Amino acid sequence: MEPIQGEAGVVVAHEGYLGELAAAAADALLIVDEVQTGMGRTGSWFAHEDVQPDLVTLAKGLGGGLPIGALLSLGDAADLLRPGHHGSTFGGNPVACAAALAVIDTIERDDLLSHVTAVGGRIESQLRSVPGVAQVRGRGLLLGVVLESGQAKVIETRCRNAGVLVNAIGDHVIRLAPPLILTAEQADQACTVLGEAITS
Amino acid sequence: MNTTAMLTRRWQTVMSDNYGTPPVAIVRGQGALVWDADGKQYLDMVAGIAVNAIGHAHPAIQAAVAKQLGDYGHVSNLAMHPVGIELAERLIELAGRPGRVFFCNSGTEANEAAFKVARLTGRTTVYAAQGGFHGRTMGALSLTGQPQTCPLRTARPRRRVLRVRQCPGPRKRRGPHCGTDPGRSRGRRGARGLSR
Repeated sequence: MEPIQGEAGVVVAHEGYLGELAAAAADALLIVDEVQTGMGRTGSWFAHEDVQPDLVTLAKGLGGGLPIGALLSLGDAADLLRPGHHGSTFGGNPVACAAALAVIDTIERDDLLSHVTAVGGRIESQLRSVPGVAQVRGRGLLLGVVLESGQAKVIETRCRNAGVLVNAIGDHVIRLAPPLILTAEQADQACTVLGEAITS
Repeated sequence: MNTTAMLTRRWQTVMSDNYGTPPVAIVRGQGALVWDADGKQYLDMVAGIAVNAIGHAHPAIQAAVAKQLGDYGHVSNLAMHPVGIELAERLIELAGRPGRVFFCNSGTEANEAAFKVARLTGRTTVYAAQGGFHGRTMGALSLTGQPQTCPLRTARPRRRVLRVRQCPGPRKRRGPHCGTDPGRSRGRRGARGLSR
């Protein structure tokens, strides 16, 4: 389960959803897919927060641009995988691991988790008031701008022409997933360009 | 010369067409900025699909990668190495309870591994959310609740050890875009549905 469905258009699970899943799946494994939401993207290290999943999957932001994925097996689930069950020649490549450690160190050193929450909130509040925006959903710097019109692809192109790269998902959602180091000024610039692209 | 126009022609000649021709060719990045092959600057609000967490060309990553390649670049899992152990320790610390880490190269592989571990319980049913996306390799794809994502999803082998069930996603799809009403959701029923 994804705490926030990224590719579906940044669809956020309602509060308590994962907890209810965890309760319903009491004697089964709860697998939380944090590939897109993990490693600080939503303003916390993981987006599942108050539940205790058995398995957590990570990738995307983990390596900060180097290809690396990880499966965390927690609690009793940690002993399921035994010798011979699985493997990967490149898995855990030292260069990718070194990059991932640099990412974690930087997020901690620069206090990027609170920065992500602040800048994400700033973007959300600015875009919420743009005419033609039905909703802004998501958390931290994983945001889905839901459009009243089905013009997402056109708006993506307008933004690119104006010097801002955004990502249209389907016809109605613009996904924003900028680097966690995005400054407040850059966030404002993105909101101005995106706002104009939506209203023009 | 590598202008966008020239790169586009070359791309269309030799690159697999599964993405369609991308509209931009990026040749440089710095922080949250990137530049295309024609020198135009962009603010990058995509970050390589949520990947470039601390931006492009971050000095900490450059230094870490250069140092690591100078020490040793690849050893496979026939050997232990301290940097992998340290990363696993940090991730388990962040997770907040004891566990173990399996490393791979991508999100879809991480989900494949989770799928395998789930099989090791002896259970034969997996529930996945409607609208969910877990990757494009065949196992992960079979858990992905977006039939439109890939027509090959229907080309899974007919004999299935695991039954993959879809349970309702966290938000009800309504109208042209899903989950517009924060007060209502199908998720509640979805979660309960698991226990039945």
